[in-house]
Amino acid sequence: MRFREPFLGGSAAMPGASLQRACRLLVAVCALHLGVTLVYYLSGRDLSLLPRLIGVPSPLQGGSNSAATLGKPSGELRAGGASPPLPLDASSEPHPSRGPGPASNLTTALVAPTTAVLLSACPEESPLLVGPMMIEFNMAVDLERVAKQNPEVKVGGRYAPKNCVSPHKVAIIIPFRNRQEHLKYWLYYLHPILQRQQLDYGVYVINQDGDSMFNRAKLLNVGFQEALKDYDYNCFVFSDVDLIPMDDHNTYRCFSQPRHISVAMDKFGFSLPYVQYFGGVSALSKQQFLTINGFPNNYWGWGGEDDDIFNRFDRIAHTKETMRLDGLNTLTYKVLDTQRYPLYTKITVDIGKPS
Amino acid sequence: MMSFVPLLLVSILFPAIQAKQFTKCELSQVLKDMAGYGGITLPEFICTIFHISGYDTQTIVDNNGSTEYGLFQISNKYWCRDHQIPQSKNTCDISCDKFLDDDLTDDMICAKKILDSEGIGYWPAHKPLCSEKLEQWLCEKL
Repeated sequence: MRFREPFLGGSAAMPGASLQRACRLLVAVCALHLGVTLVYYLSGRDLSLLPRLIGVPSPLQGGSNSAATLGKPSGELRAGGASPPLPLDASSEPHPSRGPGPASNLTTALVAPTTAVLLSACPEESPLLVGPMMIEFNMAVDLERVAKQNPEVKVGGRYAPKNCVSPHKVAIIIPFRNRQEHLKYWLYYLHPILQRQQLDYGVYVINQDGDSMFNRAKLLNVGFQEALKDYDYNCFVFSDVDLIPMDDHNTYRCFSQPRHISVAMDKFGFSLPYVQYFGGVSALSKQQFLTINGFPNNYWGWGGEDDDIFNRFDRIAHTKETMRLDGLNTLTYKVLDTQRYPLYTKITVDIGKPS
Repeated sequence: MMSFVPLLLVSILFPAIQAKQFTKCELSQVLKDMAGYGGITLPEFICTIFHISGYDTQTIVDNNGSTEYGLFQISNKYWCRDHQIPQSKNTCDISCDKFLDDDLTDDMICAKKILDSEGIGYWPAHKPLCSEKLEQWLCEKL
């Protein structure tokens, strides 16, 4: 690079010369920055090129219980293994299915296993699993297209395996308010995973109406009760809308004890933020849920309620005393609306305000 | 004039130094003097602070008409003064935003006053989360 001689000229002793050196340095730094930005921009067109460009080692292998969190849409996470087809269309609103009434919607939503008697039970571990998956959030999701890509999923977000009978009748309950973008990614990634896991499942999005503080735990209680009106689910997986599993061996079903499914999350460096953490994604059978009287209804706003739940499992914990006083047996709410979309059932509820 | 470039770089860094996200071990070091105060052990303090502010000195949380500041989430209702509650009792005789810097001396003095007057119950996270399994809050390096 050549610069013109400065007009002011002079020897190196003059202040103008060192200032010019500083300016050159600044220009060099800016050019470098611009170059790097350009590389990233161009590589962003086809992300598979980037590792080759900068010689990054092969993408990380997710653990069997790890999950990826949805950050800003430009955030991304890599894992080796199969990648799902990437949708390229602009996003659009899903079309709700409007039947003559909720009863007829339910009949079509339920998968009637008329041939179930002839089918054997699904294997303990599904043969369809692929292992670690590549999870990205930098493409637009069109729910109509996702519905087409998952033709076996029935209206209301219901699916049961065709070739075997699953013992896992799972209602997936998602507490929700104003997170449509996250929900789209969740549906895009989870429906193929849940089908590969050969679960008899339904997806329930419980939408809190109004502007008062978000009450996650109460919404989960509502989800439990409302889902049971559709089908005799024996298992409930409670999931935040912004968590995607990174390995489909992480089965969204129930076990002999309540299970914390999201034990290793990328946003926490793949370790628990603290030992008693029970937020994120958890699985409780119907019996386990009833035994602890569900979740507390009285934790409004951030935090606390998933910690209280952990304490309910611990026999010597203090909040076992409040368990009988605050939970399913004291649950009151009003369903304002139920929509059966192709990929999920959305129940809008009024759960009141903090007292 | 030769120092122009280093000066420029330092001045860019300066605003970044204000915010402080402590680590468990840094905090254990700074809070050593509070160990045992009011019958509360050091890991209990570390645990409580993790749950209320995540070790971030700039944590501000609205709480139904009052606001809580800093690592210890000290409230403007009685303990410090800010624009929201100018008539606050201000027991710690301090402006609330002083709890947002990374000098914890004033935070600790006020936290001790709170412990004297209300005990550890002032921080509701303590009982459910910091009464047991305290080994996870110890700093191995100390």
